[in-house]
Amino acid sequence: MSNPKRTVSKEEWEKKLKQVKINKSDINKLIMNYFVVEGYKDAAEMFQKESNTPTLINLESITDRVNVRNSVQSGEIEKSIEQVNDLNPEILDNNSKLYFRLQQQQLIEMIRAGKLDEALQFATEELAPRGEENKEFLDEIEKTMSLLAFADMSDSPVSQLLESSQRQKTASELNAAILESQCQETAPKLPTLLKMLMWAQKRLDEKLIYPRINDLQTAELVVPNQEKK
Amino acid sequence: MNFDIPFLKEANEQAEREVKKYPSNYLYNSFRNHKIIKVSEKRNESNQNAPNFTIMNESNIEHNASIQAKYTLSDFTGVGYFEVKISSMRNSGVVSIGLAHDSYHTSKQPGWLKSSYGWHSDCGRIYSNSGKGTPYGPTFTVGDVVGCGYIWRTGDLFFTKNGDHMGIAYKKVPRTNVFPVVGMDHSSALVRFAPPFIFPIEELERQELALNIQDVEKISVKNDVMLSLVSEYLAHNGYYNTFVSISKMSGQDIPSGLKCRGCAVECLRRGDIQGAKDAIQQDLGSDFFSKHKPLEFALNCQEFIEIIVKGGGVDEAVDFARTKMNVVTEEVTQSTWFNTYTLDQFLGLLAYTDPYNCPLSFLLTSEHRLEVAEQVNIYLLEHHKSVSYAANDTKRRRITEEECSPVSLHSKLEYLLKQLVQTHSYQQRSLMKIEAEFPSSLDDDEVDDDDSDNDYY
Repeated sequence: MSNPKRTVSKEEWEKKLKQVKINKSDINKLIMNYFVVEGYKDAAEMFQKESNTPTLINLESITDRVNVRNSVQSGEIEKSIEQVNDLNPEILDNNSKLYFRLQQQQLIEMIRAGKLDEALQFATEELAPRGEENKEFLDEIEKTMSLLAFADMSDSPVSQLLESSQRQKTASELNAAILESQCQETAPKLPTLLKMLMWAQKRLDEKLIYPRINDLQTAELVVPNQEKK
Repeated sequence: MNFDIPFLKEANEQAEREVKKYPSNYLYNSFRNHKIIKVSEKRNESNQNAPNFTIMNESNIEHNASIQAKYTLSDFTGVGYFEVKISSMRNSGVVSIGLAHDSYHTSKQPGWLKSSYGWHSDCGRIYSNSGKGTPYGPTFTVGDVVGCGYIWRTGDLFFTKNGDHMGIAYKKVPRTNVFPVVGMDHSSALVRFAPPFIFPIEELERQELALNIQDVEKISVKNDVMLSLVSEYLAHNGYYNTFVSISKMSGQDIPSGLKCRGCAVECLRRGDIQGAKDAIQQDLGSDFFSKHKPLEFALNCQEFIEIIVKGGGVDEAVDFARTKMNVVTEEVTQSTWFNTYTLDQFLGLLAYTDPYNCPLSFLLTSEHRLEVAEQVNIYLLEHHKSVSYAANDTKRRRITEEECSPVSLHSKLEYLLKQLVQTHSYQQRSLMKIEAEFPSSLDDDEVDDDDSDNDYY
């Protein structure tokens, strides 16, 4: 005699959705928070002018973080390490995982530039000892080195290491570490809200059959068990 | 979960307002009717809305009666829990406490059948789909307070005795199988579904909240997805310069017409109507307004308002109205703009010496101005879309579905946030056991769908 889960039709759901009012200025604050935490200084300044959204911190303090991020994003890892140490040597001292991630990125950049001798030397001298301390590091070193096995590295199963998204990931981690050392919030609110959306939908799935958003990028409502057109 | 975000708070409050239309005991758990076990409500000193219950099996023949609660412990995303204090028992009798699926047999102790779990007082063993059980903890008897808890995140099921945690009895118990059950033969007990409990549950709840938040953080939202959503928001709302400043990172192309639309909308937001008109004509042609009369009319109405806002006299306003707002061709009167705001409303402002304190004062607010900016934004978006659609048509390119559909009123980011609010709101409503959805259809006659109210087992 269990109660079957109730279903909410797409029409009903969309009708209610129309009534949900979210203040544009609240969203603008979230966007500003995203720019500031991620270190997009130009965007923050522009957005402040265009949308009249206030920033809560002095945008100049972002410059240091921006310089570090830019170094990483243009592949100049050694430079970024110098910059971080200038800011605060404790950041990398206290975070061996982050330091390893930077070294791994250095290796990737050498491989990308075709400097294979340099890469091998770097891997042997700098990375191998780290790999001995920590199995996770060893796995990552092996993954990275496996790129060399392919004449065309884009054929490699780990080819995403060469993509700019990998640099972005490294840059974000470094950015978060700097923010933490400055006692600022390390994560922007917007991605957390989207994560909450995914989590909240999963939770509601237990009680209700309703139109869900499965893909954040398209933001399309899909009713489960229905064929998507 | 408590997130300090304005629109989530609003969703919470709205759900709470809706629930006030229902009797307050809909919020908390209670027992289903039972042929043999008698239930009576008692006051909960600490929480007026959550009754406590006395349950009593006075029958001398019917052993192994078990009574089940209406609602499941899996409603609680942290820790679901209830407690039973045994008031009286017959010699060599059994009382048991546990959880089961939602239509458990009324004359079997919890744990004997499938999809049920129980701790029995006589032997201290725990049972799950078994007649024999396994050793677990001490026995319990009259005067003891035993509890049963369920951790939503992991599915761990545990028992407590007189405030002490007895250990995890079962792991990964499915969320469909956790309706409270109390088994009793000739005995009576006091049951609580809401605090205060003898067992200190707050610490466990705090832990679970932190762990749940960790689980949320672990969900992956890729950086490039985030950037593309932010870009799309900026483009949709006309923030041209900001869009350009992150376009290298987001990899998004600058949509055609964004610069002009951004400029026009920005002027509108500031109340510079002429600036907006200039921007539009510069990009789309000086004859644009002659082909888009409703838009021109809308802009003129706002210009009229701006005259009043800037303190221009009645004469100036009337002159303006006579020259610019007297175009009432059919095209204009058929437009949605004309039907949302009637001409009378705008002109009515002239009737008041203090327009800021009249019923039409909403027209003078910045909210109204922003709304107008929004609508013009959408209008221009649609225009650009239809223009590029027509251009592709002549190139005989395959027309995509996206091109056929109307421009969405909101950016994807906004839809995602709305979905978050709505999902949260429906979750709150389900906790408050509201079955009807629309406020207009909430009658007093509409009772919880749970039919078992009327069935006597």
